[in-house]
Amino acid sequence: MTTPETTMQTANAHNGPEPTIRVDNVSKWFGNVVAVNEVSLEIGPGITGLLGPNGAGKTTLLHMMTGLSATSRGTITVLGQPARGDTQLYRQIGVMTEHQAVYDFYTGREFVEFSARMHKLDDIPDAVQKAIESVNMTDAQDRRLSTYSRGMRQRMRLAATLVHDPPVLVLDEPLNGTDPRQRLEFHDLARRLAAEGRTIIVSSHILEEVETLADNIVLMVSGKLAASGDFRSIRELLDDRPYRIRVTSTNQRALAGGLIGNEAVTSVTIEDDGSILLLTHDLPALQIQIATVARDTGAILQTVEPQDESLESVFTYIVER
Amino acid sequence: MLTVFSLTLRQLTGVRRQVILLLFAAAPVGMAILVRYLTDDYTNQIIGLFDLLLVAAVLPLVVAILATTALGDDVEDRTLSFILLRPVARWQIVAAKYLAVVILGLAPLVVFGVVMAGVAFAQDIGSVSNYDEVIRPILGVLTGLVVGVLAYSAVFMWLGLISSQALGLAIVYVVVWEGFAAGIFDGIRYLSIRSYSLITMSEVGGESLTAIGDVGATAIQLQFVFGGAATVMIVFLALTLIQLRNMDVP
Repeated sequence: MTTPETTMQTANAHNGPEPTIRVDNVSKWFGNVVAVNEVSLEIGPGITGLLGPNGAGKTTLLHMMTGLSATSRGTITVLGQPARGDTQLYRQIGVMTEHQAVYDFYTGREFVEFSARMHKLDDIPDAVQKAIESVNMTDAQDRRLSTYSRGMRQRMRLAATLVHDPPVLVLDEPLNGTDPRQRLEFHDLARRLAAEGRTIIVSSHILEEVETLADNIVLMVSGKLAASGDFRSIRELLDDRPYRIRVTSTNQRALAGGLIGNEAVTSVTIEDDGSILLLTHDLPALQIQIATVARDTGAILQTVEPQDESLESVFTYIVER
Repeated sequence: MLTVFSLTLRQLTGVRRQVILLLFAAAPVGMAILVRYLTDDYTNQIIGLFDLLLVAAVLPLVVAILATTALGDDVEDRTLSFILLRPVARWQIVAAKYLAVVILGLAPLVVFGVVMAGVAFAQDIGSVSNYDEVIRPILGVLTGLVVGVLAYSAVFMWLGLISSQALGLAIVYVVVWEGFAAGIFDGIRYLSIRSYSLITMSEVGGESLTAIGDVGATAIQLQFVFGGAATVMIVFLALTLIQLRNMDVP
């Protein structure tokens, strides 16, 4: 198993010799609140998933990478240039922020044209058409953005991000509001763009969303870099995590006694409220064993509830390891 | 720059906003027409309306409604990143936004200001071409409005960028500083946009507008007024540019 790198170390989420984006010991604080804490990482071509629960500091980090925010400490370079200060760098970067706001008075096409004009592209109609086609929005391009669904807006925002054909793409929660079909289309598009040698960063708070998309994962929790590497190593860490199951029955003592020593159970604790808290590394086996033990001890199961299955707890587990 | 300019024009020309602006800008004209037909000494009374209604209230309010939202709304609705994440120099963004505000602010104020001046100074249709009695005062009103719009626009655009309560702060500023403080302390007239407007109207407009806002009694020269207004404009546009460069964009 590959050991993921941990906080305070430099994460290398790329395989090439020169990283596209280099984050060097970067912190960001707002008053007394530390949003990003001493993060160092390097990102190269391919798709990198920036993963973490809400409030982990992903957006703050992306804002600093794209020059929208200043770092409180540390430096960030993109393609060898400081991320903040030189607006010409945006010829090389396409950024899609997490906010869904758009200019509602524009049609979809006008919105992408606006982006193209801001980039002073040579052949604006052609660039606009290609960008809109790439997100499959040709049919709806002449409708006002105010009439779009959330997913359609996201796709047209993506088209506006792609219109100048940038080698670096920073996409903050791009799949918000999209349906499963649109997600598949986005995956195809992202892979196609990555295959052309682009560096693509996709942030998400949903593990499964980037599992099948990203070549590399950068995991952030509470403003810190928790782990990085290929997805398999992160997934193995998650699979190694014990599951917590809370059980109540008509005969708690007998059931707890029967479960002690069971090979599917790591530990058994009777809580203050009388419920039984089980830890297990083998959830499927426990599901079978608990029914067998209950039958053998004459206890009638009342509740069997998994505990701490929130994404936050999953990420926190990785950090605490 | 043209792209940001045309975007800002579309952002600021929503129907509801334009109706409100037109109503505000038309109010002094309505009052002037009433005064003209209800009183004999209408010229002096309308000159009073120029100061108390047009320059003291309508001018800053119309500009505040436009200027505080020119960048302020972009911050509020988080669309500012759409223009900042493009290879466009920040000064061009500030200049384009400012130009849009000035044009949209001047349009209703100039139209209604000229009509109001006509109501005040033209005795009849035949006298409209009289330079000293009609055309010069109209030019004075126009120039004074331009000075006020240029200066207020810069101040309020900066305010919109630094505060989410910019319109309220702008109104407080106009009432407290431009109205109350400048009315009590003569020295503040040197630092008052309202005074700059009134003095310009008085100096450019000639004898007919000498009495406007009681500025005839002040010793402030037109050169100082233009210099002061230009300084206000440059300083606040520079502050806006610095803020735009240094702020953390939401």
